[in-house]
Amino acid sequence: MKIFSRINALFIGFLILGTGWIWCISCSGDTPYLVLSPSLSPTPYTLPQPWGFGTMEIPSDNPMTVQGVELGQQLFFDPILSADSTMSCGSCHFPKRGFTDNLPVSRGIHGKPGVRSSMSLMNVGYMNTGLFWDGRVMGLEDQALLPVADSSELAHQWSHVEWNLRKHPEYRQAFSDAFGIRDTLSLTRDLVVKALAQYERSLVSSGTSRYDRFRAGTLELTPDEQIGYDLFFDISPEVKDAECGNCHNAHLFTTNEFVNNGVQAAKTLADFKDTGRGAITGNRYDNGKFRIPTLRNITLTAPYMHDGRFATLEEVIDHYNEGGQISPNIHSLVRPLGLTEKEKGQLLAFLHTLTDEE
Amino acid sequence: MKYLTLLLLASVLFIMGCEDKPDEQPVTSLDLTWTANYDGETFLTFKDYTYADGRKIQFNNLNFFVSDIALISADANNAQTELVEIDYVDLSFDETRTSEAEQGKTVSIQDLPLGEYSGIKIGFGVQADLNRSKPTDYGNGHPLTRNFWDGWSSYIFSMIEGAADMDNDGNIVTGGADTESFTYHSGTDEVYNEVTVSKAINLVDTNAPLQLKINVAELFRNSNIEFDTNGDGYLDIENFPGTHSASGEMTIAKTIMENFGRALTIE
Repeated sequence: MKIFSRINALFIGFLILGTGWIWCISCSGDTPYLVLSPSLSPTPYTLPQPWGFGTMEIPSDNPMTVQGVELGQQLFFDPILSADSTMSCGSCHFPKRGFTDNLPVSRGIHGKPGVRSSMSLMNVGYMNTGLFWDGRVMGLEDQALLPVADSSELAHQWSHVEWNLRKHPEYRQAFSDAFGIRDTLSLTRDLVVKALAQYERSLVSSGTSRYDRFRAGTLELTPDEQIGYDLFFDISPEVKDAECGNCHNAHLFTTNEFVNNGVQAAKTLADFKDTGRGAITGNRYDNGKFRIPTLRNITLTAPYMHDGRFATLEEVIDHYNEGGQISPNIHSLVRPLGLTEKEKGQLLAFLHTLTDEE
Repeated sequence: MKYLTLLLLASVLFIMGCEDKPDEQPVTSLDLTWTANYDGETFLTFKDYTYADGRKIQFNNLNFFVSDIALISADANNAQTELVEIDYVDLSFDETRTSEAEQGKTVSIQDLPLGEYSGIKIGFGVQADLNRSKPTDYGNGHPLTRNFWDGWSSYIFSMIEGAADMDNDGNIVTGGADTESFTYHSGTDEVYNEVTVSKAINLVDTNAPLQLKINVAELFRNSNIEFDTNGDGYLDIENFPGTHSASGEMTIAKTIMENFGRALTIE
């Protein structure tokens, strides 16, 4: 009888513990543990390498695979990453708009305005001095963590994103295929940003722009484009120097540096409306500096500058031709250029050659 | 059998232990430290200095490449011991980084043979073979991943950028229609400048850093009357505020690169 009572007591004890465990799981928000099985081994992804681009540096802990890139692409355009399931990364980075949104300042869920213009993601894998306009993070994996949780962007909580993806049968399998995970609890934000980063690294220029074909010797520029090229890169002593190539150097058309290009007037270093890089480094001499954006596909990415203040490339050229606005740490090459209307048109013609045709 | 194997192993180890080691030349290390000054004053960006003609001048960028730095042996054959093949020296420190400006940029060279040297050779710029390469040929962190000028098919050997009180009204204007900025960029093989400085250097077990000091004021020396309109022996910044055009202002670019040798003192 005593033995029987003890068995009963044990049974009741386990029942209480088991109920408690189930209750805890449901309260904590964790997905029940599910075993996963990768259906295939990840296939290494071959990154296109246009002429003159050099080798992209890939983090050793996130090698690119076909499955990883495809998963990243699916996530990039999936509103599952936003709090109200209305927006994705692709809502501010449209492929046909050079991976920008053509707005002066991007808008997050519920139309909430952000602070700066969305940057082009073409060739972003080559940007090795810091991402965003102010370079606040170094790697694409770290970058991808921020917009999801930013209240003026996707405004979601990463724990909820993980929960939703773990529940999703197709995503569960896709993560298992891409990263070899064998249970749902291994599907973490770390792998989400790795997949997004892999997709973003795959966004490499096609090498089909008129400029690329000109440099490859398979196409001749028009006379106006050629003079624009000479102006841009200071090729010929016969034409003026438009001082563009110093910051927008070939072939990425950016040096990835941070400069004050004179878009904000500032009497002192403390007077910049947007301090940009200075807010990150804490050095007031970096105030008003922003990352030099690539000019590849620039005709697709209006409006221009970190705050989208210029609607057209003509306005941008006028800005530089007039020497920018006065500020203490403006780049020395931002100074009156003396370009005529014809020369400005020729420079514009050259900028149009930087658009990928595929 | 087991003991025989152990005996053989012990014998082999004993014999190997008795072999003479090859002669190893004694070596040491040496730090090369680059600093900049303006006529003796610590060089800081965005700080006002006085130019040769008495006007205010300030800088926001000073950087340059150095190639093929070598020690020259004091013996009769003057053999060269290479210290640095290529390096990028950026001495642009603002007032918030004064201690970095004072410490300068240091490169440490290891495994140098002890001995007496009579001087040091420094190439200012990027030597011709390396100047055929491009930033995309190198990985992150290499000195030659920056400052390439596609229009010249050359690295920009030196960048000296800033602004000066061109109109002599007591103020320096930066930006806009009346900007008083200047930009001296020098590049192409034509302006590469190799300098040899005589200095007794005795490398022993422990060595003090070799201090390589650049007086920025001396970079503007110019005795060409075309560019020294004031006749004071220095470049007329007001009328020649740039060297960015590859051919038209090459003379100034070349003179600036030559001036690196004049501006250098070694301690």
